[in-house]
Amino acid sequence: MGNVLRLPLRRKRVYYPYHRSAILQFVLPFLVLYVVFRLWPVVYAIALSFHEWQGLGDWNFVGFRNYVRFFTDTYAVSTVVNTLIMGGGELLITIPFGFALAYLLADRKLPARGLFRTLYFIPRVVALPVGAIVFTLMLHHDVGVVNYILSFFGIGNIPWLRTPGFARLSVIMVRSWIGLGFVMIYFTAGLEGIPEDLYESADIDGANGLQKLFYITIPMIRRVFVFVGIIGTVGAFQLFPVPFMMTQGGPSRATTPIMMYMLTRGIGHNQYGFASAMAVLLVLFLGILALVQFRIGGRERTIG
Amino acid sequence: MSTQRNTGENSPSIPSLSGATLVQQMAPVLRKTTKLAIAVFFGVILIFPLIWLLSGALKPSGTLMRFPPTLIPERITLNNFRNVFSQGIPFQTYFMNSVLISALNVVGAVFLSAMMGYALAKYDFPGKSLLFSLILLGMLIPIQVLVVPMFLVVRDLGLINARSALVLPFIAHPLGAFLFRQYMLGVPSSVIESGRIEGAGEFRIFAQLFSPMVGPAFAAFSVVMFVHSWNSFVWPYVVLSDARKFVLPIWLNQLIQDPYVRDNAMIFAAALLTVVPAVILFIVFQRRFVAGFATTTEK
Repeated sequence: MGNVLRLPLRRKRVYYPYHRSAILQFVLPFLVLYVVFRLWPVVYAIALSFHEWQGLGDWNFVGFRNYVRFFTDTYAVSTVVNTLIMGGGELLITIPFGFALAYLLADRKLPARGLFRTLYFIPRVVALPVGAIVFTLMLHHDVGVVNYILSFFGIGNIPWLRTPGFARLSVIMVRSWIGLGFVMIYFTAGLEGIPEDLYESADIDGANGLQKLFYITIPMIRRVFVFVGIIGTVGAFQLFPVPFMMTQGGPSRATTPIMMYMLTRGIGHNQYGFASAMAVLLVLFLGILALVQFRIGGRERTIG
Repeated sequence: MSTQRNTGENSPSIPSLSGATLVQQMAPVLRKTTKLAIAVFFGVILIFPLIWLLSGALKPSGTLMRFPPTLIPERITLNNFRNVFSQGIPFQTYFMNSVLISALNVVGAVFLSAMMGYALAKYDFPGKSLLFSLILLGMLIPIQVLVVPMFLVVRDLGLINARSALVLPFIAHPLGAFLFRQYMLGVPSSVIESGRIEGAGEFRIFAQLFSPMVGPAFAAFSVVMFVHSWNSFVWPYVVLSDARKFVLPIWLNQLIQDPYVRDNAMIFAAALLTVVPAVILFIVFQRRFVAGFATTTEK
């Protein structure tokens, strides 16, 4: 009853019927591709994750077995651990240094700030395979330039790509190199958003530089820290090309991230049900993270 | 910072050569120099791998693995580039593949996202809020984790190894639609009304009257989209098997995985040629880039 009463009113406010074909023309091309290539794969993965399927023939319903397998398979769990270690390591480098560089360049009296900002950001546009190629040679244990430079500081030959720990560190180095300038930009945007008068009143109170840093700057942009942390975590779960090209996931699988495991299980070994279960878990996990990011980061996303 | 500046401003009135005042006068200069030194230090570290890439690409083939490593090649040669261009499938094939795919991605994504963003911002129609929710939902999911089911969908459609498989899945870009909607909401609808009064069609109003007003959004989204596409690795790696259709990043991967290719200097030259367009694009469109990247979170 209520609906009948409201209907004409809503109609009036809403669209111009004579624009219907125009609206379709704007919406339809996007919508078709979006449904086919973005939404359908999600539905596909959810459905397939409860089945066993080699890519041919019938789907075999297995209930939650693929999910149980993921949490009980030590290899699968170890790829999650690898992902978190490498992603966490990257953040341990990019967050402090990204913040430090943004803070450094926030000083208006520093000459050539624009030039430095450009320099720091350039690695971000370098293709990951290129980064992997250059660093593989730079980190060569015998003839690499990194070990050569370290030798002047009395540091002996480091087996960069040959032991699990150093191999992870190598991946972290490449990813940090590419991501540092990117992280810096977020901090720069955050720093520019801090009202100047906070510092002025701190000056009147006689605060020194360090006090201003710890009592004004960092608290004012703590959301940026969380925001960058989430972006970094989401990025870590997409880690693939760098370890794939530099270490092929080794040694002893130490640099095999979950993406690589999902791809080898799925497309490599035709275990599509299992790979789909992993995809669903990743969608859920990263979706929740992204939701948190939206809630806290609404402002930072538009400042830049 | 400002406390330092204050002492600096006060001290010139005291003409003296005494040590304490001199130090006080020098303090800001010293601080500035230290900061500059740190900035230069990081600049050198961050740019060093690219310098190393350039240096390696100019070294004579076979001298890359020599010890001790040298930054300046003892002899500069362009032979590596010649080799890159005279492979069985030459560099220009891959380069043109990359250009084509990236250009189609940019044009497609810009058009579709802008149109969708426009519909969301400037029209009212049934199902609009559902549509917007679906787009927000898509923004939550990094497309990379869907590679396996996307692969199956593309296979069902018979597009494995087809160039269109590198374009179609990416041009309905939810973040793009969202960004355009946000920008377009900020532009008054009076332009549209006056266009209608003059009898222009809806699409013409969008393309000729309205879109120029959100030019910066177009520019920012285009450059970021281009570089994403230029550098994309996982999807082309999964979908393409015909080497003639390879794009640059997966060709580089093939070069270093191939046990018969041992010419590191040639690989460096190829890698350098892959990076240069992206870097040039970045330097030219720097401002747009940073604005665009700060609003995209896709890796």
